[in-house]
Amino acid sequence: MILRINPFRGIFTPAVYREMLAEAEHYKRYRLSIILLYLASILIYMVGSSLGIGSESISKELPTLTDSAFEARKQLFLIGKLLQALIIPTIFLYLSSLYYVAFANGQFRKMMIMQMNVLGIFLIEKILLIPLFLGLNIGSASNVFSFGVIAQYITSNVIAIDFLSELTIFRVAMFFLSFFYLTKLIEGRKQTLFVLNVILYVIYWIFAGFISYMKIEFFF
Amino acid sequence: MKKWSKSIIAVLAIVFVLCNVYLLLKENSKAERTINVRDWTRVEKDNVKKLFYTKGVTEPESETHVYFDKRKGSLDKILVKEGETVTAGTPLFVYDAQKLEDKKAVLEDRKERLQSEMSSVENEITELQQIKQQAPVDTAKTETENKKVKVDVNIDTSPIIDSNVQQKIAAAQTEKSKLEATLTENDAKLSRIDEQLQDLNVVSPVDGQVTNINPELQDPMITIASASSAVKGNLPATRVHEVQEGQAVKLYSPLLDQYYTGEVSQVIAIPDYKTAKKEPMYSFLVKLGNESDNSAIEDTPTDEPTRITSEAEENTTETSGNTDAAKNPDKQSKVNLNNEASTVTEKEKPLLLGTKMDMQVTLAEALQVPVIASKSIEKENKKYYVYQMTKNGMVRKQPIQIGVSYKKKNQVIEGILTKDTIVTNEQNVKVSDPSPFITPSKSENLNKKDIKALPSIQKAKYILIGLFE
Repeated sequence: MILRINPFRGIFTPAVYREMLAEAEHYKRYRLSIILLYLASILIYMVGSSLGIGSESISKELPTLTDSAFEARKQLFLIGKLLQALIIPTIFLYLSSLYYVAFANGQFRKMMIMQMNVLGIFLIEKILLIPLFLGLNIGSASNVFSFGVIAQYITSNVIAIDFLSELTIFRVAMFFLSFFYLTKLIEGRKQTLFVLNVILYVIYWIFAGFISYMKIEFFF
Repeated sequence: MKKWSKSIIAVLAIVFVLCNVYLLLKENSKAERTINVRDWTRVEKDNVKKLFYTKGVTEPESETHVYFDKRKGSLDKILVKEGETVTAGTPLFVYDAQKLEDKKAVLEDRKERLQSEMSSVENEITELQQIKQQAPVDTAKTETENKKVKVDVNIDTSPIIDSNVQQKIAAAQTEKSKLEATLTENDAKLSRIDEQLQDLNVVSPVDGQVTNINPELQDPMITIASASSAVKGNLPATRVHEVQEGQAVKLYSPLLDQYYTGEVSQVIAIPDYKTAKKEPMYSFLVKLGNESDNSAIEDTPTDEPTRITSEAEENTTETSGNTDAAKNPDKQSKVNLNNEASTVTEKEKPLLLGTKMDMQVTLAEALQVPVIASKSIEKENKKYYVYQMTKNGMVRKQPIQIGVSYKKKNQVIEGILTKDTIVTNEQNVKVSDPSPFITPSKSENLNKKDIKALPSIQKAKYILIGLFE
């Protein structure tokens, strides 16, 4: 059976797509989908970053620099964002698939196709956040999809806020969607798969939370 | 069942997001805001001039009145015409001189008589002295030439005759000195009459132009408009307290296409009820500076009507540099005005009285001060604020004090310094607490040299910030 890869169907009709993916032996548009996802990632990151999202830490240099010197730094920041736009899909597609192959005996291609859906959700969130961040004048700490806003009411602990602000309903959806796929694609106990998946997402979360908390300029 | 759970999840997600939005937007929210600053500007030194535009008309700077003095006699004749240009000292009119002339003639006759009397007395004296000399008073001196005469005199003379001659000489000399005194007195009277005759010529005390001659000899008999012209500008009631003496004024005559400068010399805070139809209109006078051509008025034709009653007439006057136009009937000269105004391009044209001026009064000015555009200023409870971007990477609401403001430019007296960065607040940024901000990339500002100039470690820093934050 041949599966025409379509991450949108994978996200919005997961039950059907999951069956098709489980039975498929050949895949159409496999490489194209990967390339398109990378391109989408680059596009979304570049649009968001050039509008200023995530540039809080270099803003403090604006009053002391000329506009052109500031813009030079902004361009370097954009190069960094471009690298991020390449690394994020790599982590979600390749590294995560390798994790499932290594620890849950998954088939690499099927894992890749499953992870395309997960990456799709991640990118949809990124797209939605661009107008929300700019329109509501908020940053990632007050992301309305996350627990960050509530966290700021509960605590003033910066680490807690940073970690909770990285916990968004989209990330939760990513977790459950991948678990939903894993139960069909990998034979094994549901509990084991759940724990495996929890471990992976906790690693994601710690990574994201740590990056959110970390201020690069401390190292310079 | 599955559909139910899907819907519940969707509803929960929406509720969650709405809760977050509420917590975020409610007043005194604890959630941190990151201000999206789309446009910013640096406070620069600039000049702010508060200007006031109005219209005005040139008129004589001052008017001098010349009065008729009945005690000096009746009027003989007027020497000037209305519209004639005069300088200080130009005779204006003459009193009738007949009485004085008669007196003068009498005195002159008397003077002649006195002078002839004088000369006869003098002759007498010389004759008497000659008689005296013939007497042998001093023989030694006269011996060479008059030997014969000496003999005769010696025969006739007697001491009695001699004393008689002496007496006569004394009497004649007394007579002479009396005559001299009378003559001096007569001369003094004559010169006084001459003076009075001079005074009968009434001369102009100033340079200017005769604007009015009163034929019924009622005061003021002659009105002279000064040659230097001032501009009278309209001043609406709202501006009366803003216009002050000494303020610089720029003027432009659309007709002459020429600019002038001047300064406010007087504010007339008495409403002009003639033109006041709806609101009282006040006025102010502007003394023109160097650019104004004082000599220009001399070039105006003498038959120019100086009393301007209507704008139509005024226009006629303005074009009457061409005398044909002035002599033509009103309608035709109006047509001429339209043609000439566009075709005549001579420079340094005379500035006529009644020329309409567009005026620009500098009410207040602040030079080389920090200036902020009005769009960047927020007004709240009669206080002014700007959103300043600080070196901590924060946007904060900064109270400022505003000085001179005009046309959306505002002088900042306090609160912000030159080179401070502020939000161009068209986007209506509102923050109560200092908040971090983000800015979009503006590639038009990019200069690749700036990137190259950065040391590698700095480059790495910004790339890593992009990568990890």
